[in-house]
Amino acid sequence: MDKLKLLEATLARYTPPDRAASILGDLLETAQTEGRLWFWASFIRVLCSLAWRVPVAWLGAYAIGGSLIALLMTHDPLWLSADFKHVNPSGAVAMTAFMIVTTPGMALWFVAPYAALRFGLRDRFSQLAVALFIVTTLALLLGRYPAALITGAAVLIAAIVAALFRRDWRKPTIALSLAVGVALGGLVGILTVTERAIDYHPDWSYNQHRFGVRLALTIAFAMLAATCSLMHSLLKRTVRRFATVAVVGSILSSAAFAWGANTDDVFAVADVHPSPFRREPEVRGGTLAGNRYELRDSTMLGMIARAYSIETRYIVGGPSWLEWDRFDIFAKATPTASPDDLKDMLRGLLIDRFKLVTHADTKPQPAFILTIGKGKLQLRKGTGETGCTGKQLDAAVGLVEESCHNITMEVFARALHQMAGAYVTSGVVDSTGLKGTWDIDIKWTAKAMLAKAGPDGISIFDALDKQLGLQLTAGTAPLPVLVVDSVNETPTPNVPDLAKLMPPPPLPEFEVSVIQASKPDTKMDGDISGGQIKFQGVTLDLLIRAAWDLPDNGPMLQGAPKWLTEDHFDVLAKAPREPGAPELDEDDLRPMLQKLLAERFHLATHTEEQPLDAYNLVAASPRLKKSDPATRTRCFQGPLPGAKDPRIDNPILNKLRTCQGITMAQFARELQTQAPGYIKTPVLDATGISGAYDFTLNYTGAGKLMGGALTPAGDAPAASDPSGGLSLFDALNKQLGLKLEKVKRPVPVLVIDRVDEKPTEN
Amino acid sequence: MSISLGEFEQIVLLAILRLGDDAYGVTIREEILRCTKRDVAPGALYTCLGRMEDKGLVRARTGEPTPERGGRAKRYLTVTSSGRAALVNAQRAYQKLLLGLDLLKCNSGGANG
Repeated sequence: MDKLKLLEATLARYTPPDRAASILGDLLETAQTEGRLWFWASFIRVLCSLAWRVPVAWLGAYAIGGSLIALLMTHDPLWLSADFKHVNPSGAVAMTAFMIVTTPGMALWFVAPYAALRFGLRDRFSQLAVALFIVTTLALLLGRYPAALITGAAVLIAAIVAALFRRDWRKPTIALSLAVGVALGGLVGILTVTERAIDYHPDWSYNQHRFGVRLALTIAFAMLAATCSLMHSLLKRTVRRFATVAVVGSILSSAAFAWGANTDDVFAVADVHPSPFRREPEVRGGTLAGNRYELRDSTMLGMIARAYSIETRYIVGGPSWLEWDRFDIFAKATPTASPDDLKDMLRGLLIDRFKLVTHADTKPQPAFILTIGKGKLQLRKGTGETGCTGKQLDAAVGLVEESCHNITMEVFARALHQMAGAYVTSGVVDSTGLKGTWDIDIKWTAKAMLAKAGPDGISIFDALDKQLGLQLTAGTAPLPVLVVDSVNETPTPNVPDLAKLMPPPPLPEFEVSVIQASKPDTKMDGDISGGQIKFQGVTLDLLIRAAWDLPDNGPMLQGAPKWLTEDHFDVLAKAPREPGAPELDEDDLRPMLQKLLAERFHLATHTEEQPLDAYNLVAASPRLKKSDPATRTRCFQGPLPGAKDPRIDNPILNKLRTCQGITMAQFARELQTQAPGYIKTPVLDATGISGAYDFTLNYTGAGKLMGGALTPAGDAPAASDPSGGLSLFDALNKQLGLKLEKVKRPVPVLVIDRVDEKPTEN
Repeated sequence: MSISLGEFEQIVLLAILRLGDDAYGVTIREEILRCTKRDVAPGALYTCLGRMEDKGLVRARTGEPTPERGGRAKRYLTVTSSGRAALVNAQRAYQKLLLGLDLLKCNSGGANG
């Protein structure tokens, strides 16, 4: 391109082409007398004068849009709270209004400041963008109130329709709509491409991921600015050219948005399956390591609570298995995903794979009510930085102090549950009617130390009354809850090429592994936890059982030589830990221990079914109470809330298992996990009883039963204890009318094919 | 509602009026320099002209391309009626402020003598 044409084109980027040509002509004409140096200096000065708005518009839009996005992230509960983000059938109108306002609203956060700074406020495109920006932002910031959203959406639609009917506003309206559409579509499209690129490069470091995301955002923003300028420049073009660009822009932006929106808030790929049998299931994970998200042994209730940031007690309804069935989730996520992003993704997964449908509601719930007491109110007006700090004043008597500054009574009420959870066992509702912010200092005695503290001790209830003049009483209050309308027990199948898309991570090697013979008389101690395996005086039999998660004794391990339970070893094996990653847990360490034993003891095993003595649960004369179909299946140690604990009167019956809504098949499985002292092999349900039941089972733990009632193999029913103890078997019979019947049937066992008596050198 | 004008805008409008049919970027700069001894930066002049054109204070017509301009046409500017009205308003305001001060006479007297 000719040098002068290039200069003219440069000027034409910031002023209409005819003006650009005449300016360059004027400079060339003057340069005949003033010289080349003058020409170049003047050209640069003219260019700066015309283009200075561009960097200012960039920076301003980035700062304003970025600040609003940051506000959105930090003030999420203001308007994107979990109860609102998901379709509430009763609030469908508000939800539609929310979508109408949100979609252009977020793009306008960047477009409006850019247009105002780039083209000035005299420009109709800018005026419309700023007006709509104000409407949508106000509606979104007040989005907690459906009326604000509905009003905002109505005003937005009315303004656009009115502008389209006015000839002088029609073109700016269409141009702005296109700019917003292209901005949204492009933003979603570019971010999707970036996320996918990151997903397929698991070897990228955290900084590389972060750079990728920032680069994508910058490109998206550059595209947005270019789109605004392009659309604005079209305002002066012919209707035909304007219409062509409008149609093409609409199609491209819609396609990009639709493509990108499909992958919003979901994991790139996820392996979802029921958790394998574990003797002591306990939820683990829920964090991101690199790009791998893991959540194991979580109930549906736990997953909903995690995904919707709500306490489990405020999740109501749903099928009976909500607290019973456990699931493992392994998924790929963007390594830079924040905990909130992960919640969104988990929410998306529950909706997508389990077809979870929920809605927000308000229901009376047990709660504490904070009111003004009968005495004098002793509160100071709030000053300084908002927040609360707690400290222990005297550990010996459990004296605790909490100092709060500049907080509202509503926040203080909510905080009480966290501050003094032992006393305040449920949420607190503020009914004081006190407005404004307050400084509050309060001292009380920890509940566990109240008896020990004697007359000096003070409960939180008395402290609130005497020190602040407030009263806290237990009752019920209408509280927001999340209602589970429906959810599938079986997730939809994983994608067929899961292993290719998300290969299992390689088994880590122990950083340190030392195995040596124990000194004589070393007491057996140790465990698998905290990213390491540490045992003293442990037999190889126990180590193998730990590695395969088998009961500590019993027939599930076969082919063991005699010395396996006689020779003792000290074992220390430390797993590596990536910076920022959680410590490896038992599930990670077990396969590593299996590998270690194979290397050091040349251990070789296989699994096969062998006929063994095992138990069938049969009905003798069942005394079971049918449960309410709405009851959730669960079993726990201890009595029902409010019920008397029989262990207080009869401590020899030290085990109290309460089950609700449980089927006999579930109970049979429960027996194996909860009574390992009695039961060493899987229990099968042969009761022929259908339906779900509520009951408690009170018996003496195997270890406490006097006289060594169990056989050495631990697989025979124990006789009841002469001192009043009751074995599990007798308790089942007497209390529930059920019986554990010993039968011989095939049971999967681990068989040792080979094992060396001495480990290889460290 | 009349449009208020800045000092520089008034100077540019007056220069255009003085130049009549020959007002374009080069001549406007020269006229301002001749009358006010003020060497206006081209950037400031073109920004001001663009802004006044957008406000409807001046109107442009394309002239003939010439070789010394690299074959680029001149943009001749004329003051519109609203531009003239705005300028008259601004000048009247100055006149009112000057009325009774006899400032011009004093200054010219001082300069002369």
